[in-house]
Amino acid sequence: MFNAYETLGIKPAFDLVLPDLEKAYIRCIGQIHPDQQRHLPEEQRKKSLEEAARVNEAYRILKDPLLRAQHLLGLHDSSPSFEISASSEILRESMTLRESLEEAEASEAIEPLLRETRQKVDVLLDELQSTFKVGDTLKNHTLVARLTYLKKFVQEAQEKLWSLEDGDER
Amino acid sequence: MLLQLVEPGQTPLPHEKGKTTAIGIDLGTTHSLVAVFQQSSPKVLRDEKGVSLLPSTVFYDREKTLVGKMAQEEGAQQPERMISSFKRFMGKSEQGRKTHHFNVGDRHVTPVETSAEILRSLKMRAEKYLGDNVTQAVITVPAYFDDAARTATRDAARLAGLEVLRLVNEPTAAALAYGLEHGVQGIYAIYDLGGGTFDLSLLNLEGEVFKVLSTGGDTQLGGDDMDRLLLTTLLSSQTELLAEDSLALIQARRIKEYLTDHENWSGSIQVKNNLLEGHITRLDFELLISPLIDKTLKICRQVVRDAQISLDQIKGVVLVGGATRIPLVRQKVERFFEQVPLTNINPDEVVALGAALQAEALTEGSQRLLLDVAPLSLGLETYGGVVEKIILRNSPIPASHWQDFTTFQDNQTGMSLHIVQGERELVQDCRSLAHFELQGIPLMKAGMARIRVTFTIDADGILTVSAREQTTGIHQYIDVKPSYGLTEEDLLRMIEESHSHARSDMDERLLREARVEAERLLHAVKEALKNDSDLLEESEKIEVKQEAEALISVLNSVKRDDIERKTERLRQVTNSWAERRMNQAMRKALKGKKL
Repeated sequence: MFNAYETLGIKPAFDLVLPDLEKAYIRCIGQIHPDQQRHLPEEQRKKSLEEAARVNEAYRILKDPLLRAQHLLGLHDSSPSFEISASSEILRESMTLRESLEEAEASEAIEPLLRETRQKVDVLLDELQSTFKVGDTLKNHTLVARLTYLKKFVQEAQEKLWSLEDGDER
Repeated sequence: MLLQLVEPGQTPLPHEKGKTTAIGIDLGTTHSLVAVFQQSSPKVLRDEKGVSLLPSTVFYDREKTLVGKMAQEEGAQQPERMISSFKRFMGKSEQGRKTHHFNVGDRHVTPVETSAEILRSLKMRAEKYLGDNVTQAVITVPAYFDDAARTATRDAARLAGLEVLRLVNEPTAAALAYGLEHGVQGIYAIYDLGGGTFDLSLLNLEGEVFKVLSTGGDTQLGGDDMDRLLLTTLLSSQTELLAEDSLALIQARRIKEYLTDHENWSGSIQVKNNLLEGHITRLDFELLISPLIDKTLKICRQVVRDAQISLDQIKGVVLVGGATRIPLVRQKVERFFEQVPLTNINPDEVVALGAALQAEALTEGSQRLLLDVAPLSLGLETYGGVVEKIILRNSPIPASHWQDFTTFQDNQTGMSLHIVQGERELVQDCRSLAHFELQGIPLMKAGMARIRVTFTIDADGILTVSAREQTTGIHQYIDVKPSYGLTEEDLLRMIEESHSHARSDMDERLLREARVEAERLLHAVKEALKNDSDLLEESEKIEVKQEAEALISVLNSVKRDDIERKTERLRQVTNSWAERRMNQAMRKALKGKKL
């Protein structure tokens, strides 16, 4: 099982100080990057290429709060068939948001939607900080499921907003 | 009297035994350069005439292959034997063939071969300067080059007898040279508009760590396209003359360059033996190219979004590539980034300098880290022509991903995987990269096999695919063959052919040098006969004249031996005369002093 925290040699926690993560990443990749391994024999270079790819993957996951939360849940839950399931409440919220986005034709209509959802995401991330500390697995699952949906919505709303902005310029 | 082999005032340093210098090469669409690291700084190498830019042009004759300026000169007479801008075809396949082909006379050559000619010429330039063999190089490629184009570049290097230490993305190399030279820290945008390609990379520079945050580009957008637009406009009434006329395009490029410091141009251009009058103002030209520049800015916007930063976090915008000299490009870039771009570098040379810096770091060892990203997402075709992304764009590289597959039929031994590069959801909207054939799956019931396929993008941005069957317990490796590019056999055949070509290229060069040497001596003898023939006995005079004529008679011969022998002979018979002339000059000088 891939463990991003172990790979970078940092202790598993949801609240990460980003500059610390950056430092750990640079320390690890600096040792294993293929450019630093040129003097080694072919077989070892191949190994270090795999290891460098793992370090990069760990960094990519831990940098992003949602990926980090999902990874952390995966580490806690030993069952391989683990999947994030959304409650009907979360699905309802998501559907309502989506409908509003579809109706929104101008940037002015999308911007408040985006702002509100981003605030919800921030609140959720704060909440996750404490629930991960407590180790409330069920609560964590629910929160991460909601975070997944909200983040997906933020992404879609942002892209729609961008495409409207790009259209205006032409 | 030897030909000056190095730039004046620059003598190669002796180096430790057995240690050779690795060179940095910028293999560009219109020009290429080579740089080496020496005495604690990188320097661009120049040819005998002091020119650093080698035109990326190759001329194929029946006998010889010419490169650079010489190729352009010969090409003026026989344009159909000249190939330029071939970088645009690197890694491109065409109907029924795995790689693109150019037709020259009765043979065809691939972009890999033409690129190898350029690399070989730059390698020779470096060897001449260093006085030693060169076998290793860092070569730069556009950040947005796909896997096939990168592989083709690596093949070209191999053909030229160079081991690629690393393919470095052009904007990353530029950032490296700029960052180290100016000691800057923070987030920088590298706007690289070259002859044929555009890249924008955002990098974070921190001490010895150069980390790419995001990148984007267009491998079919550059100064060449502007030349083409300019030519089309100038020939508006004579469209039948158009098509791909590389000589007319070179003239269009000069007009474009002229318009950088002039408000308008009028004159004539030669297109296929017709001399046409033309006139264009800078404003006309700017209207023409404006959509192209806007296209680059659209890419810039996406790259900034991908990095999840705001414009005010960008500390500087570095301009790279010849096309960034165009005033309108600078204006538009300034307006987009809301800051005056940095121009305290040579936009033509900075990429090669970065490559030389990295070549030094890789051979001598260094704490420096170049952390780059994958420019395009990598995906697999799944049911219904939908793409499943397996490595996302802007992921730090090396990157790796594995996925398990199974068989659909009893005793199925092979399976095909279709890999695409691009951002769209459907296979038809992405660039098909390769069909990989997995062969040698052990005989099993349908659905029993578990084949783990691993996709790895290495630090050069090149994809490798490996597969093995998991359930048999023997972890059998499965053969993976890509459907594009040159096969190993193609490459080996080319390498073999190139050895004989390399010999004739070298012969051609030595022949030219022998002629220059002979002409120089003949000129000196002629001058001496005019001024100091009184210092010669009559019999000597006849001998000198005879030998001079003998040399003139072989001057245009292709037998270098003849030229060299007769040159030596003339030198011998004029030796004592030269001494006498020297003594006379000394006496005159001493007399002069007395007076």
